[in-house]
Amino acid sequence: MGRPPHETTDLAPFYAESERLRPPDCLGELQRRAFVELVASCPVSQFRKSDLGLLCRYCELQVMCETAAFHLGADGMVVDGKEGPKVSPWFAIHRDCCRELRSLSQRLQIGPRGRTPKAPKTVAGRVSYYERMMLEGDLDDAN
Amino acid sequence: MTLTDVEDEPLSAVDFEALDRAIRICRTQKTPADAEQIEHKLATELWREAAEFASYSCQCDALHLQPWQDPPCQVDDLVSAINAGDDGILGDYAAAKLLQRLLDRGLSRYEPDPVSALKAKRCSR
Repeated sequence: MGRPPHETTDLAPFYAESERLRPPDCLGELQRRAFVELVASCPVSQFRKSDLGLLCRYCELQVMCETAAFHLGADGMVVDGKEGPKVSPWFAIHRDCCRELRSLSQRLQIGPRGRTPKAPKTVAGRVSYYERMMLEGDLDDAN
Repeated sequence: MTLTDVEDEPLSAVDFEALDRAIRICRTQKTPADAEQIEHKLATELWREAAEFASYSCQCDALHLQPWQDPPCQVDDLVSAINAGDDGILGDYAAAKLLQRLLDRGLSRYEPDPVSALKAKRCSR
């Protein structure tokens, strides 16, 4: 039996500015929150600037999925149609969003597959609230 | 700023309640070593010094601060800290911003968990 894989903790170096990706301005409020939550819960080294597009799409899908789930819960999975009861249109939206989320999560190495034995073993460090404020844009001069 | 710089300033009822709560948290919700430390401080130092230490400790934990970052209770000059802008590292600007939010909502600078207190205040409105 070989040596067990080592695990390192993601630590912010002293006197270094945050290297975490910030949500772009084009994202809506809910998508921004999803973005910050995701980026703050993963190691800094996990995402690069080139991943920004995929990350944004992932967050948009997450919000869409939650919106669909809310409507399914509130209105029911079966709704009245012109020709009698039918499956809620939100069901298809939820299913499609989940499918795309799964696909993107594999690309971004998020979720259970990102924690397989061969996956990089860097554990996300705790994000200080000040860094979270920076990611959320709370420290911008306009605020 | 040291923990005792504001010692001469009178404590408001809001500050007193927050400091008292911080001591309670150190006594009951942290490790036995933390409880022992606060008991020792209460026995050997002025109540306010011990209470400010408790608040500092609670805020650092609640905000997951880095070792070089100060919590809001340590902000000495709010206006200067905000005018100085964000250096992106030390967190003084963020601490000042957070303190400003606390004070704007009538909360204490010594609030043990500033973010939860702000959320609770927002929900109660």
